[in-house]
Amino acid sequence: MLAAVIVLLALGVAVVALVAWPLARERAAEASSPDARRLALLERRDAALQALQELDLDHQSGKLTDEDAERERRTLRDEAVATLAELEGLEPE
Amino acid sequence: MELLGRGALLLALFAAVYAPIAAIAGARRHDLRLVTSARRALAGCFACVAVASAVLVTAIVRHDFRFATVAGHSSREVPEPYLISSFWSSQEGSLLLWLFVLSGLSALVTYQHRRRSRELMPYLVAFLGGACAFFAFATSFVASPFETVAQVPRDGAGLVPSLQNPYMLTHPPLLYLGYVGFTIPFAFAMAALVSGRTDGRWLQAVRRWTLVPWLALAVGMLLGAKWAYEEIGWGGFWGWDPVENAALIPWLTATAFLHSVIVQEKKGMLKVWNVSLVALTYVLCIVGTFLTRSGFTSSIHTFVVSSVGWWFIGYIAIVATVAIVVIVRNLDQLRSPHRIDSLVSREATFLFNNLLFVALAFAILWGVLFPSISDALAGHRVATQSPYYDFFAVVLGLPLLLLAGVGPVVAWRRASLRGVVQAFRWPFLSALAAAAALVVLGFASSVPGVVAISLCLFVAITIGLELARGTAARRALAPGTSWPAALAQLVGRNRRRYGGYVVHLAVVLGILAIVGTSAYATSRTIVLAPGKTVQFHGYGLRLRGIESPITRSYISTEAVIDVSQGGHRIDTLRPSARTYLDSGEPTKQIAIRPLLRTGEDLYLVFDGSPRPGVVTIKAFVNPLVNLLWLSAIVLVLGFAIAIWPDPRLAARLARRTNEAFARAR
Repeated sequence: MLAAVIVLLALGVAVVALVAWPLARERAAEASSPDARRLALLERRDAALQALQELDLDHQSGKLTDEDAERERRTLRDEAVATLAELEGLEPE
Repeated sequence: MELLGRGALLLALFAAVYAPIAAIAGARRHDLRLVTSARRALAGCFACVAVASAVLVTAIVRHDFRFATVAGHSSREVPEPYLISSFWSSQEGSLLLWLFVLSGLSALVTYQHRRRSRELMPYLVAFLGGACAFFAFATSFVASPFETVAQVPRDGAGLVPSLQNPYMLTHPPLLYLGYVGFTIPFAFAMAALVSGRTDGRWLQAVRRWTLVPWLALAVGMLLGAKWAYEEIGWGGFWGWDPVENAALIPWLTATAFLHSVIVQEKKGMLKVWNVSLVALTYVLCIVGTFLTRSGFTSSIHTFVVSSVGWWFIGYIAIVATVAIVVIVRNLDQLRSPHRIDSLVSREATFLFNNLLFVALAFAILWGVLFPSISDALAGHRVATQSPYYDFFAVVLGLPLLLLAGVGPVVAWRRASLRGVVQAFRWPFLSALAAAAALVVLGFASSVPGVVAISLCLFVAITIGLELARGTAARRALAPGTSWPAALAQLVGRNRRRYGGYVVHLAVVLGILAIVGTSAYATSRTIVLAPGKTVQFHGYGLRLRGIESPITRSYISTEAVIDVSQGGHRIDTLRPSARTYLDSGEPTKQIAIRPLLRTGEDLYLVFDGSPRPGVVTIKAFVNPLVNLLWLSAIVLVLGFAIAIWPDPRLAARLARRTNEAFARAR
């Protein structure tokens, strides 16, 4: 019984110490957050560039016809260009 | 011991309740210290649950029958390796196992993502802490594993004999890892929506943390199937038991998500659908646990009936309501500017596949719920039989199999007719030839069987061609590269895609096994007298004798049967009937002779002794069944390829995030 109480107390103290330790420190300066719109555009840009790479491999491996590949390439390029333009539009004046 | 177990669980409850409160306060006050403290509370919760679990394990190993859980689910006669199964064979122990896995995963995932997902962290901790608090409350006040009995028995009631099996040492924990693991993607999805951070970081975390429980559930179900096959003795491995279904249903919706998330990553579409699937999967996990643990449905797995049911209903209602509210309130950030351009495109294929997966999940769920609903409404229980499930498995499963071959090859956005013909002519012609060959060879007794085997070939050839073409293309890009090196480069550059293909191959193997055993299995009841050989499906069966071994745990009656093929003895099988001494429960021990060359099993079940010296045997020949166990290995391989970290992907994600952070400063 006594051993159980001691173990329980030790566990309680350890948990309280673990949880309270960060509160004893000085408050850190708030970290900055990324601009959600910019992050979304960067994601779209990366997705388009990666899709272009995959498209080339798919075309080369004969999975896509020349016409299908060309049409998809054009669409992806347009998307990438539009995304880059929108990203530039977000640059501070 | 009792005090330590109960006290540790109470401490765990305090820590779990503190975590969401501190996390939300930290988010509101923009105080990182509070969020860190909340995150650490989850680790503290895990430490307390680990102590409580250690107490229960110690009680089981020491045969401490003061605890009702130990007295009710183990005995001195249970062999030592299986004693640990007593932990989760009781409702109280299984809830403690749930809490142990949940708090452990929560502590791990929040530690792993403490920097990467800083903005999500308060809400991630809040959702995970909330889940931990529910289970800590349930194990502290509703179904405590540390309840004691008024009169301590000399021995325990014993462990259900069918659980004294090596597969039962791994099957339940894996299912729990699966069920519990889906809490993580759910918490990530909700945290991303609440914090307004629905960029690719949460999606990547959710995908990885969906794959882990997805694999655990898949392997858990396969181990359960192997257990049922070797232990129950009806010749099959899947009986559409409510507990099997409870694991299958969330697995199906998670599989749907793993496909549709690709569309979101590549095309920015299906965001609402994806987040809904993640929430639905988690809710279905809890529903599955409720069905298993509340006694709501009757099955061989539902060993206990208890009061946890209403608490689970309340928890399901809260989780579903929170999920719906969070999704509806954040619809704006989930809207996509893109639409599906053509029905013949990869995104459309993924959408069809998702609809089929979800339809199958709900058809099975309805089958599980219907007996109880009919009981409540009409006053009598109408059981859902296997033909109901088989019908939906065939009607929805075959198109899914077709899509497994079509999806990876059809072009994104819009595929031209010429492109489709170019991509599919060989797989299609091969499938057609296979169907014709199967009919000629006499397999037309099952039309779904012929269609399924042909579609399996269609998928396998599609994947084979994909790998061959991709490898050739890589060799063309880097002349002089060997074929194996080019294949390794191909897989290494897109592990997710090719890991997925390997998983599709595992599915093909699994479906071949299911078709073999369901459409083309043979069975017969045979009476064997000593010395006489009976022919059965190419096997000669000859009774050599009957033995009656007695061990510490059971008494047994064994039929010793020589098995021959083509006049040559190939094996001796010993199907038997056992009666366990502690429970008095009779069980059948199956004898199996696998034939690895064909993948089939000779499967013998002892079915009694009509007169002295004579035995009745139920004999089965199950074609291709061993492919199912092989599929588990291939599945794990595919998973390992898909989840192996891709340094280029991680670098791209880090670069993008840094770029966005840099602009924010």
